[in-house]
Amino acid sequence: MSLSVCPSCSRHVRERACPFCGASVAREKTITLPRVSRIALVGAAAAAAVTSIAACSSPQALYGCVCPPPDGGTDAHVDAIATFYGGVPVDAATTDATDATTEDAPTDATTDATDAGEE
Amino acid sequence: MTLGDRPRSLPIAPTALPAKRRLPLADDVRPQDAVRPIYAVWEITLACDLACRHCGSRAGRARPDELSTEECLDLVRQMQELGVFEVTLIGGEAYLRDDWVDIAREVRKRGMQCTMTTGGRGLTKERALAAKEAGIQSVSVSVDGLRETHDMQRGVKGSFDAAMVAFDNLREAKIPVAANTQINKVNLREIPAVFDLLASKKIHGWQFQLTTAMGRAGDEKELLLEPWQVLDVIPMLAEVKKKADAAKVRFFPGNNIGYYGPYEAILRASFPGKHRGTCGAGRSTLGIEADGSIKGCPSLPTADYTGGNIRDASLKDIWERSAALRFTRDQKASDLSGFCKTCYYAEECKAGCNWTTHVLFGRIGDNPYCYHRASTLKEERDVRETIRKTADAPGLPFDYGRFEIVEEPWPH
Repeated sequence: MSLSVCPSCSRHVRERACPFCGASVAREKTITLPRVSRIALVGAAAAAAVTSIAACSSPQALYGCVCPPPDGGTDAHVDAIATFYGGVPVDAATTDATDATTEDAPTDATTDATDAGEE
Repeated sequence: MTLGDRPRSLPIAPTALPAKRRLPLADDVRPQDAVRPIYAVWEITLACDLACRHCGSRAGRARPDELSTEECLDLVRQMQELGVFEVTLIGGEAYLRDDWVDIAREVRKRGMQCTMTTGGRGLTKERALAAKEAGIQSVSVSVDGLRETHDMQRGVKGSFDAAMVAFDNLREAKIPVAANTQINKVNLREIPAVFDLLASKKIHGWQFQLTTAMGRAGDEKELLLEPWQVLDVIPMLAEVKKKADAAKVRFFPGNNIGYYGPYEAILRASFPGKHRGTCGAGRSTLGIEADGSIKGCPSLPTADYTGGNIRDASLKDIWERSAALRFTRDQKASDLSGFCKTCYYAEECKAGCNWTTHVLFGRIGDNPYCYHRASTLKEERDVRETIRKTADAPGLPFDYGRFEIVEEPWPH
């Protein structure tokens, strides 16, 4: 069962009544995401909270994946998107803001148009 | 706070052992092994121009058997075929390898994203331009404190100033810049100021993580936070998050920052479900060492988590059929121990970062570096946890010693 954030104590809970503070918790819609890059996964999260990904057909946990990748494999439980040595993911908005001439910038969708900081 | 002399005598940078070879692979591929990595972190050389006191890989000297250029380019092909979306080049220091630009160019040519993480000491204008030419899309510079604190941890005077120059060189070359920061006892109080500094360098994202007891960091007990200190760290980071939002800097908690509690939804507001998932080693993440050793996560200890070597088997076979790459695919909440076994979040968390736990205790499944755990212990039993070292590490890249958890009353 997916977790929702308690509006009162801000903890993640799975029940309709928060076991930590007793407040009523609205269940968030269970969403599925396709197999995407880290930045797309992060960027899509906000949108996914209100809109399901149309191409996915069977419900699963929010961060799970039911859309097969191009090679036909599956990606259940692709849910951890950060590692210690890894860099911060980069998105098209970031790249484009810095170099408008980049033709092969990442094409991952993102809802967060991070300003790369024009000088 | 300052650090004393290095606890381990020379050599600071040991010569790595030759790669483990001809490791066993399972005969069959199970349905859960069809999962594919989205993200690969690749140590292309262990050579380094810094001498960081927290370095988990004890970097400095190149490995004795690092992959050739041809082997690297073939590995890029195999990563593409396996379905990797994004490759981060690390070291040691990636740019110390003569063909680092060729490797980056091949990653981009094959349609994958390419980023790099660097200490920045030698990231000159020329190297920044070369990175741009190769198609590297972002470079994350490691900054672990303000000038004095950073230099103390990095082991080289002037490394802070060099990192600042690296930011400037990268931006001049029109490469988006990010930053990554360790959080530990030495720099804890400086973190908000470090963020302000990084924001002034116009970073697009900031990744941060707790210094973990691997390699040299395991030698330096005074660097390591006590588990109860997450009760200070997490709220502090939530405050910094407000500044990050205002500065439009993407906030990216590392996998050992957490877990749950009232700040999780703030720290991971942009993550699916506004919370961390379970360890992605061997599912979403792939780690590669410069000698072709394949792991599920770049941080995991080499001795315990190398699934195979690319010189012996294909990447696909190692990914699908090695026990070391499979372990999180089979990890269950019922496998946990201690506090984590009975935790409310056991199923969703599975004891957080397996790397952090393994290098402390030699096993996974009970992670004291957790906000929910520390706050629960404080509220319900008025106790807190510290760690005590019981054995030194042997002194090899990606090694670890042994610690134990000690419970004590909260001081009043």
